[in-house]
Amino acid sequence: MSKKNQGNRIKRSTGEKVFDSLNVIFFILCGLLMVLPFWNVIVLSFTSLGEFMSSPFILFPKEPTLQAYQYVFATPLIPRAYLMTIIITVSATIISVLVTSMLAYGLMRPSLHGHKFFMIFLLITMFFSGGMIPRYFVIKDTLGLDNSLWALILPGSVSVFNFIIIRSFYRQLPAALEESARIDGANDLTILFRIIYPLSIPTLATIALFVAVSHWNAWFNANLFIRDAKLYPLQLVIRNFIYRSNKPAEMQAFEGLRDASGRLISLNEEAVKMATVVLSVVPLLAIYPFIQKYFEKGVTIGAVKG
Amino acid sequence: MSEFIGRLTPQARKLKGTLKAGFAAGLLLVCAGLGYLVYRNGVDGTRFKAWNQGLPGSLMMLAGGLVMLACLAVYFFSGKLKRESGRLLADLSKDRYKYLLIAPGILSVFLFNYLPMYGIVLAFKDFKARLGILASPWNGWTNFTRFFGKSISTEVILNTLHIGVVQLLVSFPVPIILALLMNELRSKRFRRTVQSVLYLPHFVSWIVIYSLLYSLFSVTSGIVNKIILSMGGNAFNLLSDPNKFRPLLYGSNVWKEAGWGTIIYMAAIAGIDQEMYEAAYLDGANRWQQVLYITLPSIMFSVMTLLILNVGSILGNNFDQIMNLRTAPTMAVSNVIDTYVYDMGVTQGQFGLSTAIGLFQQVVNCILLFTTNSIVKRMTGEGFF
Repeated sequence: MSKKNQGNRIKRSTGEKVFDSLNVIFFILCGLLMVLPFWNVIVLSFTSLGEFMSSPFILFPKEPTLQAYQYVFATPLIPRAYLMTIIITVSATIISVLVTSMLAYGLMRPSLHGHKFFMIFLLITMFFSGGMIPRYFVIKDTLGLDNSLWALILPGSVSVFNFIIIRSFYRQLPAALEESARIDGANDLTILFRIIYPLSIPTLATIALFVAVSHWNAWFNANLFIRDAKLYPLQLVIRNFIYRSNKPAEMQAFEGLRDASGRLISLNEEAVKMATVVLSVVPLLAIYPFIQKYFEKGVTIGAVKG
Repeated sequence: MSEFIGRLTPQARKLKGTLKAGFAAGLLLVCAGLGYLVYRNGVDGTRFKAWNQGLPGSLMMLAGGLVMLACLAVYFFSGKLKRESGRLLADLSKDRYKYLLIAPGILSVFLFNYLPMYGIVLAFKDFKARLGILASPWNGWTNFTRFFGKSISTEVILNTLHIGVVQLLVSFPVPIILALLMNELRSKRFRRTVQSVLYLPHFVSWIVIYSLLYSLFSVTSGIVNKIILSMGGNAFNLLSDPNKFRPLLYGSNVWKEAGWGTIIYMAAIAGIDQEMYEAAYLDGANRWQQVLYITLPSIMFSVMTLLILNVGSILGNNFDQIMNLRTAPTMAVSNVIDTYVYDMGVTQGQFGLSTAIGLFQQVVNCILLFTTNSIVKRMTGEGFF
């Protein structure tokens, strides 16, 4: 946008200069508003009990301590929940992207017999569903996925919205690619896996990101279907921890950390909570810079084609 | 040429129509038989005591299957339809891998989206756990009249509307304004940084957002309240004050989603032809006028599309948010249809009642969606579907 102004070397009027500076200040404030709450949580997770009680406002902890993290990793609860979340997220993402992208390829061209039927079959689910309770019964009783990780992995593996995004992307690829491969004797499997997939990595990566984030953040299905606390994903553990504002039984049973001389260290419980929250956000922060350019592209495809 | 080959004689067309109808009737018979079996035997298949109890259902399925097979056989082996059936077989065989590829997806949608739809019958039943969904007795509209008869139904519906409408009014314009302002930033690098930072909260769960709010506003240990207290003020109770619950919803929603909401508008703006701005500049348009007469009209299609989608889900797009931000003192003001369905169904086990409420909500949502779409279509000529 600013290209046009720089290109023409137009002198900005005073009014414009004032607006531009105010605009920059506004967005700096917005940025701070986004970042500071996260910063606060990170700082708290490194704060000792003494400092937490004595000083009202901590921008940098004076004596950062890893006690909260040591405690979190010393009890089996959080590492296990972490493992569960990773298992669920990874398998659900792989299954969902694979199934949805195959579906999109199969229904890419209207020449397929039954194309219209399948498309309507899929689109109806965007407007109408069984609702919470029937869905609960079907997954729990009819399909027998009660108290099983599959109840968190399989439902929603086909999102019609993602299907439409992938399908529109496939349709933008030149048809000649497919035709020439077919003349060379390639079948649909070869075309999909050897030609289409390599070309659609950015789009599939975007979809994978969205699916992975939604599974990483999910807690509701686990709340409905999982009764064995050993299978709880991370978000549900955090939820129980923060909301009930008392420690889960397993953490209470754990007697605590001892210092070198064997005395119990008095823990900052708020720091333990915040350390758990930080640990749940870290993977996202770690991959975020690498994928940002992908998801902007992916969303655009969906927006243009609807 | 292919059209000529594909053309059928009138008799052949009539035969084809008959076969189609026969096939559909057979399919219906199979479904009816299956329905009978499930109805009598229960979803878990344990209620039959003797083998012949399932006989009527099995016979219906058998007969239906035979009718379907017969229709297929006539279609493929009758001389009149020879050309067409040959082509169909060739097409099916050519596309066999495509059918293989779509099978898992179609199966998944059937299991997780369509099977629950039969459970909607619960809305018209008096659910008994030991009988299962299908064998529980019908009770007509009782579940609906029970819900609408209670005083809480008005409260819940009004509260849902209130929160939905205000949330839409507050959070819908913000991303548009942000995108327009962001677009005026002169430094490209600064703009990229701003975008990255503003997108971030979208990826974080509501549970984490509540944790952030808790670390800021908890009455005893939140940083904001500690500062207020150390300056001699009174603690600011944001998280469990019923009067502040709605502003908390609107504010946190803007904080989490407004930045992400700009992404579609930024993409639309990036697609605008730069020459339009140059021409406007030569005609003497200032930056404000350029925004008003070029940028804004260019993103209008995206605005309308998102408006339709948002109005369509006005009755229930903040379940996750409310479930995670509500606390015991704010239960009364946080009661919306979705959370009420959850409380009645999952917590209290009133499955028939809560399914009925959920069905009511879905029907209203569908009506809203299609109404907005047709209004927008009439006003701007651009509908979503």
